[in-house]
Amino acid sequence: MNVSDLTIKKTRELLDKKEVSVVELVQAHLDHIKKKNPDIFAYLEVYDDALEQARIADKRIAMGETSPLLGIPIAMKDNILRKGFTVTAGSKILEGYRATYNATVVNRLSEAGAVFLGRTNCDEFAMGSSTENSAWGRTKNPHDTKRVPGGSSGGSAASVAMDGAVAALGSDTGGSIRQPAAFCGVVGLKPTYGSVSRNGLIAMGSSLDVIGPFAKSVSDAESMFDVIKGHDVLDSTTIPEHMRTERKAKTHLTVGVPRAFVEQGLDPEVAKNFEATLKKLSDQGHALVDIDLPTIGYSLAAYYVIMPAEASTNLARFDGVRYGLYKSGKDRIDDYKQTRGAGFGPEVRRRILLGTYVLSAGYYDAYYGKAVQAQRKISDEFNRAFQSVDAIATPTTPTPAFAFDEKSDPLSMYLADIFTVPANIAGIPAISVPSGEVVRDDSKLPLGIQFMAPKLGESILFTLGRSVTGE
Amino acid sequence: MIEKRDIHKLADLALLFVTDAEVEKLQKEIEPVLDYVSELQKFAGKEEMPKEGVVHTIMRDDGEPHESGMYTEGLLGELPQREGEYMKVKKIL
Repeated sequence: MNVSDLTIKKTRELLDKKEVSVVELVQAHLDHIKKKNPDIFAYLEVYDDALEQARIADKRIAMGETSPLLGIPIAMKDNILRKGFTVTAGSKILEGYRATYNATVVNRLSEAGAVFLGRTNCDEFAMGSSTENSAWGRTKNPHDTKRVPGGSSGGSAASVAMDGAVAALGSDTGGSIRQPAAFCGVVGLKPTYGSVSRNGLIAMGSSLDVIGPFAKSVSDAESMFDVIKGHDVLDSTTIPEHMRTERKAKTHLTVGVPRAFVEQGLDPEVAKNFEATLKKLSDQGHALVDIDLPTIGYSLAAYYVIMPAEASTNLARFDGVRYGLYKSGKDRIDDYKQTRGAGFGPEVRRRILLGTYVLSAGYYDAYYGKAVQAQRKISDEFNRAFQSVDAIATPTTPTPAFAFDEKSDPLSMYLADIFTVPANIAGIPAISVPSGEVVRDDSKLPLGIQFMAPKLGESILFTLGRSVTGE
Repeated sequence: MIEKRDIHKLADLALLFVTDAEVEKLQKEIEPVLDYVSELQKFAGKEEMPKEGVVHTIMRDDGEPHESGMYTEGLLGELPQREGEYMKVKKIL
């Protein structure tokens, strides 16, 4: 069977009409992965029980069960735990580690009948915007193999873009779902902070991290989100059900455009595509207004204080005692130093040191204190803006996918996330939807538009996303 | 300005082994990032500093304990070094 352009919706129809079995569907994906993966390297591992999971899903279908994700083959980022299977967060320090429990999202998706095909490559501990920081090798962009797929969830984005999975899971701390989704031409949703459980997600920046889906259509992303969202006693930052007053989307929405913020450093063709996409929205009856978010420009600076501070704290647990790599030193403290020195790659080391710096006694107020203050002000500014607009639009990225090694200094790589970071700082949901393409060096490269909505306003994002894709 | 000895000190605090050559590289890479985030100093800081962030942790009540020992072997199985039911580390005192 042909796996190209198979959406959840289309696959559901095929399965419900018994035109294909889950085993056939999964086998077709495994064959396709075998063909494509040596070149793209989206997957680090294909699970050896994929067909076994498929047989179970077939049985459930035979028993008359039907639900949106039953039998749907999906991929998962290498920082989400599946019991008994290797998970490394793209790092040597977790080489050979096998998860001892399932992430809550894995349990929810298994109950819904989804089939896990394998785990996908990512930047080490989700730190990066190109997947070049993985200890296991580089994932290539399926649209042009000389270019990066984006990151940090680059493997998940590429797995869907190369038709190696119908949908995938990623995690987003500063743009790690939306930026690779834009670069690979798929839909990527960063849900509201606390709407999806992070139990079983290897932590980076705990006040920013959220798990979300990649999909081939906006409605597919919604189907995935509907299954993974919800309160979880094992993640105390998830929003309790009684506090989840979801905002329902109207048919015609008001979209704010923060002009001054959007216009900095934007590629001219990205700017043109952004304007054309906005026009498409207004043609469909949505209203566009220019808005001013004066503090939003501080988001990236605040992010590069808060995130390393939290990451350096979270990564303190990797010391060669409880899991993963162990290197022997001259004494116990030296064991830790040698293990961490050998196990962590360059970007992780930079962020650990940066985090240690901004948290040290003499600098705490000047960096961390200021960053938290900026975070509050940015959140307040978004809240005020959402009193007059339903959503805010920006391009997802300032440029299309860049070439390997193009961004060799860390700061230029960090600036690739300029438009995606504010949503994490404010904890609001955001989506990247394919909005067209540009031609560079004879390759057609996808572009994305990003919408941000108030907390729990995912339905607004889906409505606007569908207006762009024409679903 | 971040000095080489600062990098050494930070690496020591973070329990991270770094070579002298790497210290030089890290200094060059971290300096521009610190410059960039120093932009925050311009941020109007007259208002009182919040004592905590926007996010608060909510602890759940203890209850419904799992069966004693049901995770023990799984967790011990991941230890790089073990001796029976213990994790093995070098001398502490």
